[in-house]
Amino acid sequence: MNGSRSRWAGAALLAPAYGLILVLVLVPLAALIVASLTPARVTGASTLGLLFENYLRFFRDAPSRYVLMNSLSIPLLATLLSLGIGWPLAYALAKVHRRRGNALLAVLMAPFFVSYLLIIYAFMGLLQVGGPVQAGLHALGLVPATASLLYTRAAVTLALVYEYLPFMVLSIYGSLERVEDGVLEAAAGLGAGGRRLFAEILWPRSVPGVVAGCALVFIPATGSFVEPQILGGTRVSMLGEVIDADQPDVRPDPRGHRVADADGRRGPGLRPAGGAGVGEQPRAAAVSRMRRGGRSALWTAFTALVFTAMFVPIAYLVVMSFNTSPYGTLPWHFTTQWYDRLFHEPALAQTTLRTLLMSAVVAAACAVAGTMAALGMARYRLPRPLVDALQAVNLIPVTVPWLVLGVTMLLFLLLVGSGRSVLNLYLGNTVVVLPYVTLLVTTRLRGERFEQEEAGAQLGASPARIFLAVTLPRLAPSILAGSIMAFMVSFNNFLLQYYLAPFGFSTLSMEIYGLVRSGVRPDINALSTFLVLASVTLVMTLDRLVGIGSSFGAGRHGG
Amino acid sequence: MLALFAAGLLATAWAQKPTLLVANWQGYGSDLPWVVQAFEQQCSCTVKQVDFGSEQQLLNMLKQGGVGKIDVALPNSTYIQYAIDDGLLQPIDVARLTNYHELIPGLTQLAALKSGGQVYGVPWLWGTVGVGYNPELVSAPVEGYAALWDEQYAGKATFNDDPVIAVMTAALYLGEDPYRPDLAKVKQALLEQKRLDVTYWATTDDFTKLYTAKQVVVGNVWSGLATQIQANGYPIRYVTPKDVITWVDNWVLVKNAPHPDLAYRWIDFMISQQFQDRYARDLEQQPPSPANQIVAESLPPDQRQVFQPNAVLETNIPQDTYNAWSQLWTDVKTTPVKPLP
Repeated sequence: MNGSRSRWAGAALLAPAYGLILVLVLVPLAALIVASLTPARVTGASTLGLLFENYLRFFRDAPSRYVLMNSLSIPLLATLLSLGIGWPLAYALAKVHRRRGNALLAVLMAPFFVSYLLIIYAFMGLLQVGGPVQAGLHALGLVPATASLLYTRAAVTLALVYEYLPFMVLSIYGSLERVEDGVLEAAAGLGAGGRRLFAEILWPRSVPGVVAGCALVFIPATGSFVEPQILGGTRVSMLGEVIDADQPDVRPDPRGHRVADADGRRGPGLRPAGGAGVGEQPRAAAVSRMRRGGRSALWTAFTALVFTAMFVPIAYLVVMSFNTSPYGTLPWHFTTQWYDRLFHEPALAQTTLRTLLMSAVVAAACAVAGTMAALGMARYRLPRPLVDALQAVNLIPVTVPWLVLGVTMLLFLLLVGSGRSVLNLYLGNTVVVLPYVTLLVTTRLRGERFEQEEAGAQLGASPARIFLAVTLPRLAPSILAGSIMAFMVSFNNFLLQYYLAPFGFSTLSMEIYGLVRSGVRPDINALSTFLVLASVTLVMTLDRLVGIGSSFGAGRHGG
Repeated sequence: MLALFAAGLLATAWAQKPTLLVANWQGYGSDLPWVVQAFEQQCSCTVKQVDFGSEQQLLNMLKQGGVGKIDVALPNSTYIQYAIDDGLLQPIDVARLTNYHELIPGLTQLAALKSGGQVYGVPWLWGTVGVGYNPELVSAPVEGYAALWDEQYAGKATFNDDPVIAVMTAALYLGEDPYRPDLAKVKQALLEQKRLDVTYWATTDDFTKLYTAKQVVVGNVWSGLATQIQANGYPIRYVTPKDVITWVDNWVLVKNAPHPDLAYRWIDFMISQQFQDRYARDLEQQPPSPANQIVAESLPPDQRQVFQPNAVLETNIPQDTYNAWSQLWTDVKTTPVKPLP
């Protein structure tokens, strides 16, 4: 019995996931650090020296104080706003809406399918003079007719909140979901009011999620540059704009910016560490739902409001996809010409399919490697410090900006003679989304005692049989959730695709970013409409079938 | 896991015929379905395009593994010398191009396209960066770059976010030498101009969204873009100042190109009347002016631009100067100014 749980078996399970992380993330990053610390000299290709030169130049020239101030104050404000909206929303989803809340959380991720550049354009359309939001506010008497909401710090902050709110919500949700309803019930039963429940139970337990959420919002927000440039104009300048012309962005500027991240979206799920989850207690839940009665209505209204606000830009994009203007501006005349064009553009359909296939393969690979790694760490008696270190390493691909990862991976691959290739593209995309699966499955396995597995072994079942009949069904929701996250994130992971894809191989996000010269046409809006619809449908169907939503939490009983 | 990857690889396997790799801006003529089809039929090959979003990106792409894989690329006249200096290009034997003699002589004679007595770039399309304004909202006559500093347009102007264009435009406005201006004066002028702007524009979308939503009424703009906006039903007038900034995009042959024969046929096709005529008349594509003289002279008067040999050409700026200009522009962009009014 002990033999099947030997340390070597555990290590073998870890090999695929951590082997990838080692080769594609750790080694290249180490090489980058070494190279940037060494004085300018050339190894192998002269290109390496020249590229690192840009990064070094950034550190030499300090940005102006004004830019620094903006670069800190705006993300700070965005983080606080995200917290202010995200915490109540997470609470509502975790404690008020429960099962449905899980599915709603998944629906919140649907905007991931839309290129964030399109979302920014939607904001432009909504906030400009004459745009729906501005016109609406004017009708309410809140702003003068000619006051533009664009080109202000507020517009930039709003866009940042919109983009990063899901991370905050997901992080806090993870913490709050673990708070046992029984505890809340007992406290309420003993006379604790809402304020005390919050101050002494809910808030302290949510702190890991809050910290993670703030980091997931603040860090990418400081490196953002597209939002300040398009929505802030010449009046709002942030650090991220001082970036390199040779990085794949639309702003030519020959200064390097190591931390700039063109697509801050990293997907949800830095699971807060610690806290053994106990399964739901159905009876207590029913009782508390009865008690809460009227207050539920308020929370429902709040949730509905936030979700509506989140989908307004998407709705705008959909509406504009039926507008004749090729520039997505008013006046509005109905047409289906863009959908027509979409169906007659085989190239775009091919590119979309290619990207979908790539994301699916990556998600599947993550499901396998991530689950193996999580099992290896949880079930096979590896030394505790090693497991902690491995879990820390697991976070590196999600915290290092993809801009940096992409470049270093490519340079490293060129150095070893491999360079761009479809295989490297797949591997690179896999390694940056592996942590989602690993983390979710690890969380699910935390505190498990594997009694059923041991029972099965005692009864003579083979390890394979045990895995398939017992472990896998229990893990399925977590694996599925992590895979979906991996799928969505790699679908839009423009930076990695740009650096690793072989020449001539185009993905959807590369296509959209390439439209700098010819302009984004509403057929892209039309495409996005389909993708959003498809993703929402997919998520809701999966939830019906498998109950993926509940995997975000502590997990179900039995299995 | 490997099996999954293998399946994915097979599903995305490429065609068996030789594949010409073209590096160009996306949506800039070379990836139009009819173009690809026409050429693929002629050459019995496949054409694949690699997109770039800025000239600097192109250079880096070539340095990071592009040489030896990419066959032809389309840099601006400014960047050809940098590419030559970095050893990324090979000379072109123009005798192998049957349509070369049809190109506008003023273009083929440009020093920017040559080095050491050899030709490295074949001019393809060219355009100007003049001033576009909304005739319905602007009544005063607009004659040149000075309009971009005219305070009556405060809060309704825009300016191109490009260091070379910015410095040259300011230099021409001040009456300085556009290639060697007094940078202190240029910076001051650009900061003054910034006070009138709603925002800068860098991409097609930036400008079109601003202009068609009437957020701006005047700004410097690419000639082809103005043509397209007009063709799409939004009135815009385009003014070519006396000393107008001009740019030329050129096809180059990348060093160690895997398919040099196909490359020559491609370039020949791109400068042929067959391509240039059809492309120049498809206004939705935002075509700049064709380099093929026969086609250029056959265009309708409102579309025809005449290439001035002594135009202020975006060309040949020494690397140090370019770095200085970029630095200046970054400083302008990140310095806060008090907007007018």
